[in-house]
Amino acid sequence: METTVNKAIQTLCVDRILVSLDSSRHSFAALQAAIQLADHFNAAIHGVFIEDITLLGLAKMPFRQEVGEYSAIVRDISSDDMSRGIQVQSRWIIRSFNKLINQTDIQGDFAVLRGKVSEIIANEMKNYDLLVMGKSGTNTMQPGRLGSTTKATIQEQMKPILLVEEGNQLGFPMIVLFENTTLGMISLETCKSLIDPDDTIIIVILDNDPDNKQSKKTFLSEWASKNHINISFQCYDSRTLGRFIQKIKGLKNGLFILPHMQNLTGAQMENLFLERICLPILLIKTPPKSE
Amino acid sequence: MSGIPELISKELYRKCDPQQLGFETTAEIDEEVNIVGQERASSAINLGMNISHPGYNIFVLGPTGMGKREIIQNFFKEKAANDTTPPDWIYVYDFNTPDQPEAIELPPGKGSGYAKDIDGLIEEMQTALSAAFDSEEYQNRRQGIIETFKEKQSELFKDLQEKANQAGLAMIKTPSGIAFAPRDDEGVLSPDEVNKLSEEERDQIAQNIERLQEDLQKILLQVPVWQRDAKQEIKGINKEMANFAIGGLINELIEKYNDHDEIVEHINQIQDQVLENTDEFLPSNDQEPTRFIEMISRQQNGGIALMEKFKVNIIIDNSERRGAPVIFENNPTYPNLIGRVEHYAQMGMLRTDYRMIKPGAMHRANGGYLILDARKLLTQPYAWEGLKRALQSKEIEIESIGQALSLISTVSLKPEPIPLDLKIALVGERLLYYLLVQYDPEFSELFKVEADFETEIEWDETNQELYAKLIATVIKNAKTKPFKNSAVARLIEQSARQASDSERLNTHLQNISDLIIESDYWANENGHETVDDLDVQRAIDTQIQRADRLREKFQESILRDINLISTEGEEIGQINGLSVYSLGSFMFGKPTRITAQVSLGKGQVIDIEREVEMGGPIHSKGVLILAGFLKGRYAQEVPLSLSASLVFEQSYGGVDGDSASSTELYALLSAIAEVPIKQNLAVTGSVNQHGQIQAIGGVNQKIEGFYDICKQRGLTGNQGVLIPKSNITHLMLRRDVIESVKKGKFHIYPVVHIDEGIEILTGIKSGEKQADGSYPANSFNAIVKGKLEYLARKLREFGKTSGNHSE
Repeated sequence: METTVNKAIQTLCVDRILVSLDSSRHSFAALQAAIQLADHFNAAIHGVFIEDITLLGLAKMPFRQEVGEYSAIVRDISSDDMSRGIQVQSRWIIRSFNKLINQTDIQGDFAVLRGKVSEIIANEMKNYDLLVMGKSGTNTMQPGRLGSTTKATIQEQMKPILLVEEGNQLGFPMIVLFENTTLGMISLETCKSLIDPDDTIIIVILDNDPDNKQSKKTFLSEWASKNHINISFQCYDSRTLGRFIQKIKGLKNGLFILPHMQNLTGAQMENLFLERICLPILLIKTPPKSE
Repeated sequence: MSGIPELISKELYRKCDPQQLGFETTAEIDEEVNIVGQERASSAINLGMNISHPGYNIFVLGPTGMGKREIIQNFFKEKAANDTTPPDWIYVYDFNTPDQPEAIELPPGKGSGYAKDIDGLIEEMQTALSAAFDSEEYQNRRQGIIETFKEKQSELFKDLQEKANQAGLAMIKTPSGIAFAPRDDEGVLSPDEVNKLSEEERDQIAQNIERLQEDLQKILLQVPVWQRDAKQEIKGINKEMANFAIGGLINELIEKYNDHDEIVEHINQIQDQVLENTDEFLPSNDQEPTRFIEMISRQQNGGIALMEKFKVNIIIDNSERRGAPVIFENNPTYPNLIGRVEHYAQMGMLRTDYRMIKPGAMHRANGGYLILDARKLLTQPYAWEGLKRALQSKEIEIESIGQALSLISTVSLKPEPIPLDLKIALVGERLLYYLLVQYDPEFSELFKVEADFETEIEWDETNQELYAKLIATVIKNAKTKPFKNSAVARLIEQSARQASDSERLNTHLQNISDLIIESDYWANENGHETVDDLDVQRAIDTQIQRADRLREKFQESILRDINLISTEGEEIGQINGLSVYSLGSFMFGKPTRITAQVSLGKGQVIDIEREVEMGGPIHSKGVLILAGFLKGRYAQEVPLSLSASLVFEQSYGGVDGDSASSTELYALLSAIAEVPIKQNLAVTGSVNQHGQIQAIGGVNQKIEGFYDICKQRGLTGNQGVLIPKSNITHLMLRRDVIESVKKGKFHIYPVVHIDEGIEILTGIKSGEKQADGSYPANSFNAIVKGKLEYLARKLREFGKTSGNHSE
């Protein structure tokens, strides 16, 4: 196998983290994970709550009605009610953010913005290195693990995104999907930067060709040996991938580092991981810009 | 005063012969004697102790300091050693009625064993349950149910989402619900864009939204049902796993306690609770409470953790006990007797649970014996009532005073009462016993046995030997040096002195015990290996020295002639009486001048003390007897035509008792006869209407009181004291007094009748009444009779004169 590893490959460099918060439990878990990473990278955190103008616009429409999430009662929506509801959420989020940040030495600030959520995030992320957010929002009724805003953000955002869901924390095991690409190596190096010398990285190799698998293992062993790192392999092909997902499906603590895959098969696989795995997922979509 | 019978030194003191005691030092005595001459009390205690019927509790009565408590304690201990060891008692949480902890009886030693077994069970259950719920099997089954639920839910929403998409609508989560809004490829339309739509289009959208809302409502109503089903299913798995995890442990314990139904029931309850509350053992995702209110809310909802509720509160642990308990409760407050439910402060609130139930003395003594100080018990609020209630109901019900009196209505525990089987001994003074008998109708039903302790016992050979052994036992318990036989003999003599009787010994052990400790101190000071009679004497002397400040002041006042007392010469109508003062346990005598004046009158004897309300009723009675004597002896033929007044000179503190009535009579007769009384003598004794002299108290102190004054003024050889003859047996005088008597420097005259006394005091024969009713010429009685007849004539003459005048 021919590796394309550039010796000058960079690891993920995080100085400023943006955390997008709403009133969901996923969001709270995302904030905790952001604090852990900020502590590790010595980064600053900027929290943001976005008052969705779509919601505010609902109250001005002729069909301004909602169905109560628990009561199932159909009722009218007023602008005042909607604004008040959003303000309550915003106050609660600010309080939680300040409380958690004040328990650490991390530099953090918070802003409440108004607009379309995905647009605001895209705009804000110009000034940040990493986006941290919950895998879904407050809509508990939606089908699937990923919420619509999250899906849209993953689609549009090119900077790394850490996705966290309710009750889960960063920790061990550290799992990296190895791709024979620059993004794959960045993912590997990033994982290396997150562990202590005695810890082990679990490297997942996905390849249908046995020769390729072996050659990747050889390369990775050399890399690990050179960097004095403990690694273990988990090798699968497209038929057995389901087994791997089933195996880690229930894990709540740890981190799965996923390099973005651009081809169609890779994109499907990426989607599968995002939808099926509970673990926090760090999705690396583009190489960091050189200084 | 030759010819007048007086007491010789041997009659003034009864010596105890050390050689008769049969030992050299108390170290030779092994036998322990704790009680002497208390047959009546011992027999009562034995009766009360051995009758098991209710109400046969004992009241031990007698003065303080007699060692009553120790004696009853020894009786109880001896019996308790052969009694059956009572059972253990534990309190456990009652899951059916949480505010009424359940009391369980177990054989001795099993209570603590069960508590340990439960602690072990809790620990093992936690491990087993944790392992069961962490197992892959459980996690997969649980996850499977959750996933199935989510998938079902997801399917419905997916369909709804598709329907919404087809209708060109977006499904939007609002802060409190879900709304539908028209959308295009760019996203949700703005209100302006919607307003630009045609009316038909808007109607169509409205219809679509209405349809979708109906669908959504159906889904939202269906989801909680599925959720409930999923929860039930998970609960079923939890139960199954928990049962498997703890079943073996529970069965093992049930087998061990198979003979105890209540314990088996408790274990079964524990199992049921674990199976019903498996959520408590699942890994918790609870966030740390962020606010004070949240913390309080958790505390209120949670109370004590489930596992804590399984623990056992051992109220009575008899594992180390052999025989029945004998408990003395020194502070018999209501909670110390009945037990209490303690509280702890948490978040500014007082909380409690069944583990805070604490036993009282009645719990500890249950199945055995309880000794209480009656005075302390009666002075503690509601303690007496609590004790009676428990004895009457035959069970110990722990209830605070506030609850018992319905003063508070806050929620608290009401522990199940424990059956009471107990023998109680109350130790107290006689007055308390008689007050209780008189004023508490329930007392006699609950304390049927009175054990009345003698304050004195006869000083005979047998009792002397036992008393010596009793002293030896006190010495042994006090861990002092051994006492020589001479020291023990001195202690016995002192005991007789304290009893004020040469034929009795005092049973007041506290005094003897104090004397023993102080004698040991002086033996140490003197470098003696064993305590001898001189050490004992030193202890006695220093005890007196410490207490006799007031006596010194009185004596000083007499010696400085501030308080007028003559010890020589003769005076008409003036005599030295003797009074006794008691200051705590210290008594001393003091001479008092008594004077009498007579005048023409109608047969009245005026007691000046009574007139100014400084004389007690007994003293007044004594004075009235004098008038009776005078009338009986001298006024059979002529009326008693005098008026006499009697007074205790320089007495400012009141007078009572009749021990000076003979003295007053001597003064009165002297005043009538105008015959002087010798002032070198002092007199004590009461008199009756026939002139017989009767015994009085404190004879030793009275004699010593006059002796001390005479001695300090210089003994003349003719000074002395007249005492009633019946008081001779009470004489236990000081050695210096005895020495003076032996040398003829001081005299003690025993007197039977007033005539004997008047001869000693005046030196004139009293004279016996002759057949014709007269007295021999020049006899004292003849002089008195003559004077009274003269007064009667004068009065008659005076009456005539004044009658004529009035006519």
